[in-house]
Amino acid sequence: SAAALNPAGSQAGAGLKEAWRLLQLLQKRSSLYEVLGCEPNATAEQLRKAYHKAALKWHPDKHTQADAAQQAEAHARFTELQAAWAVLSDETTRAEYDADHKGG
Amino acid sequence: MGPVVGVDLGTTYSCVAIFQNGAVEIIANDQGNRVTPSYVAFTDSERLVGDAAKTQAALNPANTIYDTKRLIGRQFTDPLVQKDMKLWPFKVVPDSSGKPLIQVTVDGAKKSLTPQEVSSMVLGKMRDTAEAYLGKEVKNMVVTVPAYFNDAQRQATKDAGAIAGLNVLRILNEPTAAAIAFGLDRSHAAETVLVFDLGGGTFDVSLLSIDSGVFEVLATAGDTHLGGEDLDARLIQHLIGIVKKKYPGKDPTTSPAAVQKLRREAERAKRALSTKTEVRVEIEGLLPGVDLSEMVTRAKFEELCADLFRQTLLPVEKVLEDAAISKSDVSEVVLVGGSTRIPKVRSMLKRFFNGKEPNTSINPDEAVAFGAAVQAGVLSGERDKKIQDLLLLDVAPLTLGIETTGGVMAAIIPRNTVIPTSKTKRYTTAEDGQVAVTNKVFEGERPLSQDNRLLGTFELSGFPAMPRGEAQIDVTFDLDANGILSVSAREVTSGTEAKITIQNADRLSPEDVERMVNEAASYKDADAQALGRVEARVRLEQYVHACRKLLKDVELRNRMLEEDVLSATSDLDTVDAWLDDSGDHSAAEYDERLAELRDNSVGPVFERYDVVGQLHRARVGLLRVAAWRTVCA
Repeated sequence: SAAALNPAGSQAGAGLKEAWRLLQLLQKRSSLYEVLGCEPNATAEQLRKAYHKAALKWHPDKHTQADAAQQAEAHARFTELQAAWAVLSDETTRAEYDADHKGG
Repeated sequence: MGPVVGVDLGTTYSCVAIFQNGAVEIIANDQGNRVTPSYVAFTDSERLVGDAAKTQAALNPANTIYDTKRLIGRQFTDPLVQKDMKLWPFKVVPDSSGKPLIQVTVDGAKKSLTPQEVSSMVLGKMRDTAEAYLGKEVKNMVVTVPAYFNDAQRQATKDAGAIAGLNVLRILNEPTAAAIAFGLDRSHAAETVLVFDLGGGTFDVSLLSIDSGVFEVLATAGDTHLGGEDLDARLIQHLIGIVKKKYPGKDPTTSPAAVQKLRREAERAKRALSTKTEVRVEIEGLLPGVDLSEMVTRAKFEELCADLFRQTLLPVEKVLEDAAISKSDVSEVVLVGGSTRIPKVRSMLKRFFNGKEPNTSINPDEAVAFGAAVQAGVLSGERDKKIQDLLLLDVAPLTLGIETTGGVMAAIIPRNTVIPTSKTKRYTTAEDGQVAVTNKVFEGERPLSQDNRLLGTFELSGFPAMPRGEAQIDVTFDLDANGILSVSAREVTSGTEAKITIQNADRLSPEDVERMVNEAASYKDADAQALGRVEARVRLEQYVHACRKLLKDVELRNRMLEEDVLSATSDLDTVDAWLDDSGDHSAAEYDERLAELRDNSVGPVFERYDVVGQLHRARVGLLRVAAWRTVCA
C-alpha cells in the first residue's frame, strides 16, 4: 500500500504518473507565492486567507468522490501547497526565501 | 456508500452520531442512553456489550473487560500496562511476540482476545445502535482517537474496525472533532481556540485557529495515559489503605469482586465530589466481615490527585510554545471529556489563563462524536453548505524519522506537520558494490533514536551494484490523513524501485485480521441465537400476559365456567413458574411451551368462548421485537 499512496510508486497507473510529472514541472516553474495564489508583497493575513482558500480546494478530503487521477492531483497539489505554506507562514523563512529569489 | 457515522471510541464510554438533514444526531442505544459503556462481558451463555456488560461487572469480574483503549497498540511489558493490570479484575497475558492478550472463560474454556478484538465488539455495538436508529446497514465509520495516539495505536484502532467488518474512512483526532462541535455553528471572526480534552483514560490538548469553516490545528500535545480512570485509581488506593488499617490482615486487592466494587464506588464518589464538598463511600460486605464506610472530602480527593492535575498543564504550555502563541492570544479554552467537570481542573486552567473562564458551551461527553459525524459528512461528500465550506487541517502529533550514524534521530516529518503529507529524503550507499540498505524508522521527540519508539525496520534492496556514494536512493515517507505512515523507496540513477519491507511488531498481519473477522462473524451467530432465545421468551411471556388480561375481563368472566377459569389459571401458573425457576432455555423450548398453551391447554378454552381474536393484541408488541431483530441481524 505504500507504493499505491505514492504516485511515483510502482503500483501507480500511467495517468497518475502523468499527473505527477506535470505537477513537478509546475512546481519548478512557479514561485511559492504563485502556489498560494498571492503577490510577493502580500501581508501575513492575506497569505493565510489565500492558504485556507487553496487548502479548501485541494485538500484530499474534498476529493473523496473523485477518480484516481483527480485524487492523485489533489494529493500532489496539497503537498505542494503545504511546502509553500511551511516557508511563507514563518517570517524568518519567508525573508530568507525572498532574499534568495530577489529579482527572479 | 451508504450512511457514514461518527464514533467516539472512548476508554470508558463510547458515543455514536450521524450528520443528516443539515444537523447532527447523537444516537441513543437500545437502553435509551446516548453514551454506551466500552465494556464487553462473557457469561456462560452469551456475550454482552455496553450497558448490559457494565451492569453485571461486579458479579462477573474476571470475564468483564473494559479499558482496552489503555492496552491497544502497546506492549505487555509497557510499564503503564503493568501498572494498570494491578487493578484490573480480568487477566492479561503476553502473546508470543510480547503483545498483551486478555484472557476470559467462555463456555468453560479459556479464550484469549486481542485488545483490537474487544474494541471491535464495542465498535460493532455502536454500529448496531446506528443501524437500529437509521433502519439501514452501516458499513462506514469515522472513528476518533486521542490526538497523541502513536502510529501503532492508530493502526490497531483501524484494525478493530476491520475486525468488526467496518470500513474506517478516517481516524480522527478527538480534540479536533471537539473543536468542530464548538466551531460549526459559531459565527465569529477568526479566533484561536485551545481544546482541553481530559477523558476517561486519555488527555489531549490541541491549539486551533478557526476561521470561517477552516479548522487549522496549530499544535497538539498530550498524554495517552491520563484520565478519569487514574483519578479513580488514586481514590481506590486510598480506600484500600483505610480498609487495611481498620481490618489488619484483610486485603481487598486479593478479591477481584472487591476491587470491582471499590472501583464502582470510587467513580461514583468522584462524580459526586464535582458538585458536593464531601461524600460518604459505603460498601457493605466488601470482603467477608469487612464493611467500608468512609467520608471523602473534595479537599482530600484533590490532594490525592494533585500531581495528576498539575501534569495536565504541561501539554498546555507545550502547544503554546510549539505554535509560538501567547496565553493572551487564546480566545477560548474549550473543555471536553467528563473529567473536565472537576472543579479543581477548571480553577487551575482559569488561573493559568490569567482569570479567563473556561468555555463549557459544548457537551463534554458528546462533542467528540458530534465532530466525528460532521467529518463523516465531509468525507461522504454531503451536499450541505456548512459541510462544503468546512475543512480540517490536522497535524502529526509525533516526529517521524530515521536513525542515522551514531544512533542520532534524523527527523523526516517533524511533529505538528499538516497531514496528509509526503516527504522525500535522498540516501546513498556507504560501501562499493552495496546492494542493500537497512534503515530503522522511529517516532518520538528525543534526539537519540534509542529513546524513541521503533516503528519498524526496512530494507532496500534490488538496485544494481555501484561504487559507494553513487547510488541515489529516495526514501519517501507518506503520512496519510489518519496519521498512519507508509514508506516507499526508489533508486534514482538506475530508476529501479527498491524493494521495501517494513517489519512492525505492533501491527496485525492481514491473516490475523482475516482470522479475527471470521471469529467476529461466529459471535454474530451466537448473538443471533441469544437474540432468538430472548424473542422466544418474550413471545411466551406476552402470550401468558395476554391470557391473564383476558381472564380479568368482567364480561368474559361472567360467562365462563369456573372450572375453565381454574384450569386456564393453573396452566398459566405452571408456565410462569417454569419461566421464573429455570435458567435459559433454547428458543425451541420456549416455542414448544407456547404451542402447548395455544393449541392444547388455554387456547382451546378461549376458543370455546370465542375470544381468541383478542389475544392478537399481544402480536403488536411482538412485531416490534421482530422489526428490531431485522435491523440487528
